[in-house]
Amino acid sequence: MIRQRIGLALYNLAVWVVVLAIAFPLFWMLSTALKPNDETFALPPTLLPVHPTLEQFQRLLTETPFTTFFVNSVIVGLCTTVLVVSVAVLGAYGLVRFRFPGRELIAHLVLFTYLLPAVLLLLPLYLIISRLGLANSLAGLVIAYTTFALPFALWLLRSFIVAIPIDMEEAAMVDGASRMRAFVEVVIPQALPGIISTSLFTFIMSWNEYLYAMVFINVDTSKTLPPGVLTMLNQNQNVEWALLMAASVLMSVPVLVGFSFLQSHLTRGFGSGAVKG
Amino acid sequence: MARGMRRDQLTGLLLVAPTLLFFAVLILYPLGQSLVLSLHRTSTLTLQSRFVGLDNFRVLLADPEFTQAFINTVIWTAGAVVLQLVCGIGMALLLHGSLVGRSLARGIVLFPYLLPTAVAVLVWRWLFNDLYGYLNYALLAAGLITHPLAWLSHMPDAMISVILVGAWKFFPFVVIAVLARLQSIPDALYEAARVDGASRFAQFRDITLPQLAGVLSIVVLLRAIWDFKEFDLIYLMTGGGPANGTETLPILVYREAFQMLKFGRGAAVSVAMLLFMLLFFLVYFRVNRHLEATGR
Amino acid sequence: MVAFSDMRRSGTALSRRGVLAGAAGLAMAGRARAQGKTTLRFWTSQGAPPQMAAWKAIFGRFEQANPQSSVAIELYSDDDIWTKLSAAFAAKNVPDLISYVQAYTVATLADNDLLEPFDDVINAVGAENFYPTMRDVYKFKGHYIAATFNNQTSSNLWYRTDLLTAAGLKPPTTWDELVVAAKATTKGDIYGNTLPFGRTSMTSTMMVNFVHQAGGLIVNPDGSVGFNSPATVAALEFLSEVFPYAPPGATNYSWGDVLNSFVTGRAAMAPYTGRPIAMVAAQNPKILDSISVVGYPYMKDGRQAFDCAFNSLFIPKGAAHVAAAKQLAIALFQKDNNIQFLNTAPGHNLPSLKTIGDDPALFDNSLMQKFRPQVELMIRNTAAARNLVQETDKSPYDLKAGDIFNSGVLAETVQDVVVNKMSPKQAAAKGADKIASLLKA
Repeated sequence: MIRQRIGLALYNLAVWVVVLAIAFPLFWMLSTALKPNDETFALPPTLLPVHPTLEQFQRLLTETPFTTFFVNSVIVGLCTTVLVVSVAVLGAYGLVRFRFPGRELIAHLVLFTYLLPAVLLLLPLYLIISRLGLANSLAGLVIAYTTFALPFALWLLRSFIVAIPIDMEEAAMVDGASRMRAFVEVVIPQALPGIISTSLFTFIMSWNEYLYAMVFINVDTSKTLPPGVLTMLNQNQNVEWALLMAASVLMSVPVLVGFSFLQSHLTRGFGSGAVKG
Repeated sequence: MARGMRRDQLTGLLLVAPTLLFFAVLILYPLGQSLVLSLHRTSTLTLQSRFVGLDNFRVLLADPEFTQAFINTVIWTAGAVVLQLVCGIGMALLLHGSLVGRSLARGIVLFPYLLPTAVAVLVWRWLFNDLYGYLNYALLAAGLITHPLAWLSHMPDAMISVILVGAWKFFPFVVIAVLARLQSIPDALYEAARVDGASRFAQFRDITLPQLAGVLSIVVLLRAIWDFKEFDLIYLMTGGGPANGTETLPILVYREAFQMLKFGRGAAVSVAMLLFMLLFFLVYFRVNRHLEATGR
Repeated sequence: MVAFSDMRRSGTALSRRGVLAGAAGLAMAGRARAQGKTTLRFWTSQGAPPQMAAWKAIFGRFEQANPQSSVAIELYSDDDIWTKLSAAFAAKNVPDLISYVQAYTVATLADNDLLEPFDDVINAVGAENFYPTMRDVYKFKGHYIAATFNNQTSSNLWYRTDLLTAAGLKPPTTWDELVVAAKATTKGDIYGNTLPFGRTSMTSTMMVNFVHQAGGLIVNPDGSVGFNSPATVAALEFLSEVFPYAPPGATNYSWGDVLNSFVTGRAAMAPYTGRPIAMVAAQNPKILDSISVVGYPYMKDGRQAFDCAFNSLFIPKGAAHVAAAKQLAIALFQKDNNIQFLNTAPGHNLPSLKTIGDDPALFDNSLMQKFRPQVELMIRNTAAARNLVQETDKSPYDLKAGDIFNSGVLAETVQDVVVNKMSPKQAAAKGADKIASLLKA
């Protein structure tokens, strides 16, 4: 009994050491963000800030367009998610439940587009978006992001919908509901975990995207966080690590907090959906 | 009945129509444009182009930079995927046990995956910094190294560093997938094994691993595709350097198309990438099906 | 702000049609605005807070004088300028006025016939008032294609007076002396001499100048490749000799890292423009009294040489408002505007107009006062400086300079020697082959 307890304690200790080691870069990010600028150049480096200060956050919010970038990222993330998930739910349902010519072809196409490197589409996409008059706009980014988010969302959602027993829909239709009502009243609620986890993944992808955002957006008023913060790195010439770490913290923390609340959805949705493919 | 069928077909097509529209306009059309451009000599700046047939591909195959980039991409992909897999499975097994604060630990482990790549890169570049980086300081202080390492400035260190960061960033994906599957393995299987007196390791080998096989085959496929295409992480970490040490195919595409302004050449590299991936895809499925058929 | 409200509304509508409608509305709003008032799109890489403040003040004055125009600042960075330029040209969506692009990039644009003539601006400002090299670097086929807005040279050696004095040394004037000084000052946490060895634009910039300082050329006046020469080999030998005294990460270094190593006091010597003056004052004032600068040392039997950026101002072909853009360009050369911008980075941005260089108002700033001799030295050096687009008086305008520069071949040659440990002779030959194929294309 005692041996078992000690074993358990050792196991707990070991796991937590590993977990904290994984989190060390995040700790270091936070610690640096709380340092005044000259302390980042101190030798030897201090593990915890000796003179902790919120100066970097204050500079970030007042002297740089960080808040604009942040709002833009949120807008692009939400719009991409709504657009992609609504198109994909319909598409996935159509692909799973209906027989029509070219169905197999479309399913293969989805897999195929999955393989396309983003750089391949970069320039042609930019041409399309500027022809639509959407260069330098958030709407242009949302459209560009569908190119990688839509295939992913389709594939994820398809596997969720396949797993819904068809009997339930048929029962609803026997009760006199139309196909579409059965879709809204049976399929959507059943696929909800899938929809949530697909939305989460789509949002992360959009929130994190760098390449398209860097090329498509020139004006500060529509820049999103990743290219916005990285241009700050280049423009400041003398790399101000404390300021950059403060930006990194603000860029990560809200998402991390939000997602830890939704963590169980993420895991569960993922487990029952994508992986059974 | 026949009319019902036709209406059904129509509804199906209608549902898929928005998807098809997006695919056609935003994916297939640009893709076609890239394919056509790969057969042209095209200036990125002026878009003036001249048909040159397969010339771009011929030049590529003779170009040592392309060969180097291909090898680098394979090393990066293989290194990152294997490391993610090993760490991911290991971590999932650890987190599956009865741990104090289990859900907090799971949340923390997930963090790197959720971080924007830009943030991960900034943090690691700061940790790796040659003058003020904490890693060098900590290793020096612990006596593990005698002078500061130039993490991103020498080969093969730079490739190893990039792979480590890639593994750190993406291994939680494996953890999520494996954990989910672990939770659905019936306890009865383990109980039966314990009754038979099977060791922990034997249980892992004979029960856990076979049960995970299906998940892992998908996870490997997805991670391999994603890592093969990865641009942001490597580009922002090293820009492909030192020399061409960490220059992978996506970075080569970017350099050809946007720094050398040879869009046709860039398109040709990306078409080559696509072909590699298709080939990988086919072989992978063939092998997988074979394994399934032989009862694994 | 239009963008936000439109997008937000469509976001709450939670429908795909909402997003598309928002997008269309946004595009139309942009067009409508363009009809009422001219919005001049101005590209710059100078977006740090002091520069942004100066741009806003200058454009505010311009808008007051030209009520029908407003100026929108769009930022690029040196790393993505090619991508952004190509995307803009390909989509026929170019800005009205572009600033701070370097001379070799302008050459590539000229080569592709993508520039509006700039004679009107040069003449309105006064052709005679420009330092001749800074004016003529943008003269192409009898026309001006751009103007040097301001200039800077990185062919300077910044050094720590205290560390050199402690080692009993004077500031080096030759490569040999530099190596000796680098070795003597590499101690403890201090690295003797930072140089960029990364595959970056700073490494290429420095390499051009090293070849010149050893008496060689990248491209000969007759258009043949001059890179495979004893001068290049000598430059590469110097680099591998001085490499051990650089910080361990130097094989990735570009502008920011080189500056950082010197400003934070970890390097005894480093090349840079005048930027350390303001940076040290702001970030590490305790060494402000022990920094100074000399022209970069050169090879003993070579020659003194300086390489400049010739930060340009030009109008891309296809710009929507050419006439108004010219007015804006002219306004940027007006004395108060010009000096206000120059002094956002004292000693870093150096004037391209003689009257401004001689104007006491330029030095009406405490840092400029303190470093007056150093700044005057840098102004003299920039006036004598060259660039890859025109390496000698006899050289024709090298339209392939941008291709050579942006291909990274110069920095790659350096990396071949210091990273891949190739022999300088072999590396020079390999680099020359690559340059030859670029010239042929």
